[in-house]
Amino acid sequence: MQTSVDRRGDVVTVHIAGSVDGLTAEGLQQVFTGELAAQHHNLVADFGGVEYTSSAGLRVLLATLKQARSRGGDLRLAGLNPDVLKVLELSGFTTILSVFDTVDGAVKSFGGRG
Amino acid sequence: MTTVLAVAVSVLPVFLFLAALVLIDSYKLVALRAILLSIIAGVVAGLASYVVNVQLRPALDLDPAPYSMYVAPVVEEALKAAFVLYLLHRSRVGFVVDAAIHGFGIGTGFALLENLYYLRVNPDATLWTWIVRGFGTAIMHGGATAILAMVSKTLHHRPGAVRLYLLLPGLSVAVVLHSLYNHFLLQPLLATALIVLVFPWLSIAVFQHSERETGAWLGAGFDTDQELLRAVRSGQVSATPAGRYLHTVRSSFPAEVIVDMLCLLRLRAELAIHAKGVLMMREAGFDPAPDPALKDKFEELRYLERSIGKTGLLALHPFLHTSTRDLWQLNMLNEA
Repeated sequence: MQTSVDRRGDVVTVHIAGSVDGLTAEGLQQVFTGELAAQHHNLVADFGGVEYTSSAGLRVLLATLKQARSRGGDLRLAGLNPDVLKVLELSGFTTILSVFDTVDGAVKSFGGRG
Repeated sequence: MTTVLAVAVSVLPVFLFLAALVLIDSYKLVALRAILLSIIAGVVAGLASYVVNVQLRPALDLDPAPYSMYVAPVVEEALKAAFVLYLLHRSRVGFVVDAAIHGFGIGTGFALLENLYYLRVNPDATLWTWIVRGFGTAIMHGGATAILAMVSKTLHHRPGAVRLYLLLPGLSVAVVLHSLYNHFLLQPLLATALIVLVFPWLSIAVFQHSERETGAWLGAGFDTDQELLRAVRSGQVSATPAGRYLHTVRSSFPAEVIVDMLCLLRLRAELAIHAKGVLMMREAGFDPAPDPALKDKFEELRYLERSIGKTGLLALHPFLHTSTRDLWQLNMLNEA
């Protein structure tokens, strides 16, 4: 798994590529934790390059969402492939996580902050 | 001493302990309605115990003291165990934690009835009496049945009929604890203090262990269900063990039943992912709303099971996850 980060206004996008599984989830958690520690609470996870995410990856998303919201921010997802989106829908995660087709859409959804 | 104070001291502690057990369960495994049912079952067990004890003691020609030490614990714990047996039989218990909550709930109902009865027949008893009954006897009833349920759940893995001998170890422990308490080997207040000090620590240790186990089961199960679903959705199920197995049995079943078997595998995987998703969200501190589409999915599940028939389901058994936890998670969703 590889990650890169870019910032537009006060919205930080974490671009993720590869598989998010038990081996790589901790690395992703560290990226999000680092952004939250740097007071970046409006986060977008770009899943455009993610082929597969295991339960470990989903737990990272839930933990980050919880932390971001507790600090007045949010975590939004963008560019999910149909398989990953289906799993998120089936598990009910889309009832608490906002999902967008594109990174632009997700960034703009934060209003004037992007 | 006022009746209100006597009721509060004798009844409230056990309910507060039960509430604490529910609160420290981060997965919220037991719904409020199910807890209430366990409490009611405990009240019913208390009524049945009263009837049996009133008949049995004269029949055995025993004085109250030896009867309360050696016979009453057997009668009362066995009657409380009946609802634990029902819960296990119906796959309503998935983990040690929910077994403990159900067990303590049954003991709470039992203690509620027993203490209200004592309040009625002993209205002039001192505050110490009600402290011992509220913090000691009532917690002992809850704790003994919680231990019975936890031990029985640990020994019972397979769904369906619960073998009665699996209940015996838990029942024996509960009876011994109950009997020791009734022996008053320690001063009543000392015994009460011991229970109040030991039970919370024991509960926390058991809950922490069970939560680690639940987390591991959630992760591994979610990934397995997801893999099966991906294979079915992508049309690559024939490459999986389940697909290869279906290929070998296709001559034994009509084509439409084989199709329904595939649909059942897919639907069970979808429901399992949903159930585990709900638990993962609760684990993270979210409280997801019930999904209104679930009702239709369960109707579809029942339709598919009817269509496939008992023989077909038996043939599919190796690939339908049917451990007690797999069935429990479906019950959890169905009753949400």
